[in-house]
Amino acid sequence: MNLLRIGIVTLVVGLSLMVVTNMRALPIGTGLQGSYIGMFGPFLLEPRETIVVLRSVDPPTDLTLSVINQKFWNPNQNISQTVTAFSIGNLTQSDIVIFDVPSRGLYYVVLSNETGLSGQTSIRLDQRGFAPDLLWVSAALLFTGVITVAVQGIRILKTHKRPA
Amino acid sequence: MTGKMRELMSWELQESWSFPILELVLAVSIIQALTFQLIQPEDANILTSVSDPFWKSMLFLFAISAAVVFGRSFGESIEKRKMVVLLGYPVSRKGIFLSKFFANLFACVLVFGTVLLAEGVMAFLFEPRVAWAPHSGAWYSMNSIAPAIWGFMFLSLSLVVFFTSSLMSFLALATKRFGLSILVFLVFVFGLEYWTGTLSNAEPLAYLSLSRGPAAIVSYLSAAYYRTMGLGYMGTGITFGLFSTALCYLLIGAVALFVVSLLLLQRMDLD
Repeated sequence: MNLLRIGIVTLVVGLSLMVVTNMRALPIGTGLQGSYIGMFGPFLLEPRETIVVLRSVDPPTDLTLSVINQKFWNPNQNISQTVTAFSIGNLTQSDIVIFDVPSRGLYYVVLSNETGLSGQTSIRLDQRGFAPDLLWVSAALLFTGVITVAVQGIRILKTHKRPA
Repeated sequence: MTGKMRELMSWELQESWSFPILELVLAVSIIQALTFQLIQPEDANILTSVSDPFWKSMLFLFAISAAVVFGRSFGESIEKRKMVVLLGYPVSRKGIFLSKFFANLFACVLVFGTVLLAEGVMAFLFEPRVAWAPHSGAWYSMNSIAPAIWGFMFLSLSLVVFFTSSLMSFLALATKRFGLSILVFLVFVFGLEYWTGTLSNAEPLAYLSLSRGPAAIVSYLSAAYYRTMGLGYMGTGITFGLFSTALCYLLIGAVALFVVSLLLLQRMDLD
């Protein structure tokens, strides 16, 4: 396979991934999720806008919402010792939290109070918008493809113009 | 593999996957396979949100790719007398058939397998979900079988590609015409798909479908693996009878059509 063909294939892959990025920008949600201890997931989250709605909290109390990568989560450990991707405190029933996860991955959503994991809670989690990581990968491939095709095209043109 | 075979395979790849065939197949398969949506990666959800849609959306592509690539490779080369030229070289008919067939088969598996790999990476199938369950005051983790599901999907993909390749090779060699073989192939594949779509999920004949069959193979093997790993029961609705119908149809059909195609080319009068 010559360099021109490799460039065209890279360009096509980049363009197709851009279409995929656009199609994957549709909102997706978990529906209503209930837990008797305040631990939800793991969810497969993309680095795009994430919305968590606290639908019910029983007993009513101030809660801390933590989003923790699956790799760092162990419920046998104290939650304060865990590395969180996102955390916010003083939440009550009906609160809405909007945030971005740092990278694509499997995440637990943990609701805790002063004494540890919360009691009976239910949430709804949604994601919407473009995933920037996918957009970057597709743009990089597209750019590499365009550059390769252009360079090869110029080289071919120069070869054809050269006098015999 | 001898030098002649390698040369034939390389020539075949350049001929059959010339611009814009590879580009078109790649573009459509990326768009079809990577637009799945998955937020709760439980094993049962992977089957319904990743595996099932993959077979439904990719069937069209498997069929079109096999039709164009194998139709050109066998039907067109007989029609345009390229095969006669090839037979002028010191290489047997068996050698020509095997190099043409396997070059295109491996190329198809490579292209679709790469797209499936990208789907697996995006769905985090290689980093299985860890679920926690309380027991006697402590928490115990349970890994999902996501990597195995991907492995079963890859096996089924190879099987479907082998079947469509063998079927198209047979039709191209039987009709000796590129256009006619494509027409018969597409009418057969999509006709069967339409007919099996009218059957209920409990009927074994429904699994002759090239989308429902591989999905059933993946579901059955995943459920069996889930049970074997002691993770409990996974209800997929696929019994051993339905699974074996799908598997036997694809495997026996592919091998039989491959052998018949080889015999057809060996005994064919090309002059």
